[in-house]
Amino acid sequence: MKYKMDKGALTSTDMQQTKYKILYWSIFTILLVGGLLICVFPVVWIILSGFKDANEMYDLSAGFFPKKINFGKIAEVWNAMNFYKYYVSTFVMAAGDIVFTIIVGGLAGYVLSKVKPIGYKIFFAVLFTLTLMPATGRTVPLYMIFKNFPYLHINMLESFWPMWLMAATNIFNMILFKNFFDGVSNAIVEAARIDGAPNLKIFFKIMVPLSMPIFWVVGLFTFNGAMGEFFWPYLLITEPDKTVLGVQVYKLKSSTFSMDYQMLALIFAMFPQIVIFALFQKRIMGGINVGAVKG
Amino acid sequence: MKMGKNKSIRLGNIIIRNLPGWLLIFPALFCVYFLVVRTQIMSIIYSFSEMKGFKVVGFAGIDNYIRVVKDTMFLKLLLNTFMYTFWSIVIGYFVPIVLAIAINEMVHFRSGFKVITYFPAALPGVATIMLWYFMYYPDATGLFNAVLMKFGLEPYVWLQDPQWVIPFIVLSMTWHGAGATTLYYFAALQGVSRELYEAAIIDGAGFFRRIRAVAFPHISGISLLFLVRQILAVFSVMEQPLQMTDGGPNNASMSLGLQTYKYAFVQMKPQLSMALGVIMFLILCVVTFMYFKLNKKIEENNM
Repeated sequence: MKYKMDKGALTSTDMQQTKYKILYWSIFTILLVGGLLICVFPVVWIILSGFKDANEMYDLSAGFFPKKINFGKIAEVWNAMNFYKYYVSTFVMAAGDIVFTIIVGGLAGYVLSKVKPIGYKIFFAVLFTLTLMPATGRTVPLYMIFKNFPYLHINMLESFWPMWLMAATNIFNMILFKNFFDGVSNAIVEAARIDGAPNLKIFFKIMVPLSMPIFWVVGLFTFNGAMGEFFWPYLLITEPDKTVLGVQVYKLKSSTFSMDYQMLALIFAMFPQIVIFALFQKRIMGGINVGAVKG
Repeated sequence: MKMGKNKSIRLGNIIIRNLPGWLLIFPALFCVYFLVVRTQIMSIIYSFSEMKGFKVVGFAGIDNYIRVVKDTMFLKLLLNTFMYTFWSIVIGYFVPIVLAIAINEMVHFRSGFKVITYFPAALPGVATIMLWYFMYYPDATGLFNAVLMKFGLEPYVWLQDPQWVIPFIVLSMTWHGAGATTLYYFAALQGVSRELYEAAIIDGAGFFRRIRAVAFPHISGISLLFLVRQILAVFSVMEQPLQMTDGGPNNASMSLGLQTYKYAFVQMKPQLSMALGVIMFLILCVVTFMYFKLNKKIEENNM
């Protein structure tokens, strides 16, 4: 058997020796067994445990698999915990997060990369410095801003506006956009400008179609972030109708639902993201490379 | 007179030419100013103020700082926070590096390995914390206890053991965080040129020697960056202990970050929260400063 080694330290010549073959296949086995056991098994365990009833859970002789898998139980938990409500509010919050970070961050990236008005260098330097600054102590002033926004005197408690504004403030995404747009040819933008196209038109008609990968990446990561968003919604929103998934999952701990219900409920918290990951796995993991190579 | 008119025309031109750009960047500027820059400055100002609820009622000098440092809990929490950072480096720092090197060697099932490794990172943060909370559950329903009892051992209290609760929380954080970092290291390792390895082979270097002599220097820059990022993040850890143990048992897993939350929103003394925040900020600035010093050295070495 011929091995076509590529980027690693092991070469194809090495692999003709038995000791390297053993090394290679040992690493392979450890990665496969260890990876499945550590990364995937806990999720399988919690789902299967959720299908057990209370007695079965405490019964040591019961074994790993539940006696029967009753899919009706999923619907039972869904209805008992009103998960429908939490999905709706989380999707609303997530949609807003995505729109805000793409419009505000995307436009900032476009200006920094292609328009370059006087002063843009200072702005970029400030942004870059801020990404390296620790953020401790900002929580209280932020809370105070959301409670009574300076000069405008708007109270944003009990709404998604604070989360949307924070999405718009995502400096990391602004830099990501800027770096990606730097790779788009200036000539196309210049040509459009000579034709008299205004900036907004250039952004939506030229930059967006040419930079779809980065919009996908930012959109997917923002969605994932929103699905697990906890602290700010927990602090700012008490209305049950606006409670989001992340907060509700945390509240399960102190709820009166039985253990198996609580465990099964975790499926609902993970399901949207498992689906998204399955569908867009290449884009999500490729997105990490975009950040790694250029950021 | 004429000169002045020319000047104002030129100024007008500059404004007209740059206005569209400024307008488009205004929303970002607005958000960054109010939510980041202003809050950072305000937290310093408020930390020297006397506050009632969330309203400033006077100047307090360094009273808030004295109260924070004299708090009987302060030293314990500082130590706890260092323990979080220490354990996160021991448990979590090397895992992504080793994983990335291993996956980088594979030519079979490589994208499968990447998917498996990344899978925990794709799950929402709160859900992973709750998942581990159930795995650590102190009776037979917990996964770890179920395994222990299968082997005929006594169940263990896990998160309720004050001595080990911090590494247990760090373990769950590592489970969630390692996958993404692994992919960053992997991307970096893909950039190592074949010739370097071949040169090492000619010098008679075996596999581990090649990793040490070629792969490690190649990722030294980003591994230092990740070290600093990890220290910055873990030193201000707040959400995970809040969700898993709420700082318990008996404050054994309380961190400084969680204390800033408790000061502000449980004890309703936001001025103390910000004083503590500023102290943490200064400690972390030292870390960032050291990073720049070290990074310069690495860059000089790689020249």
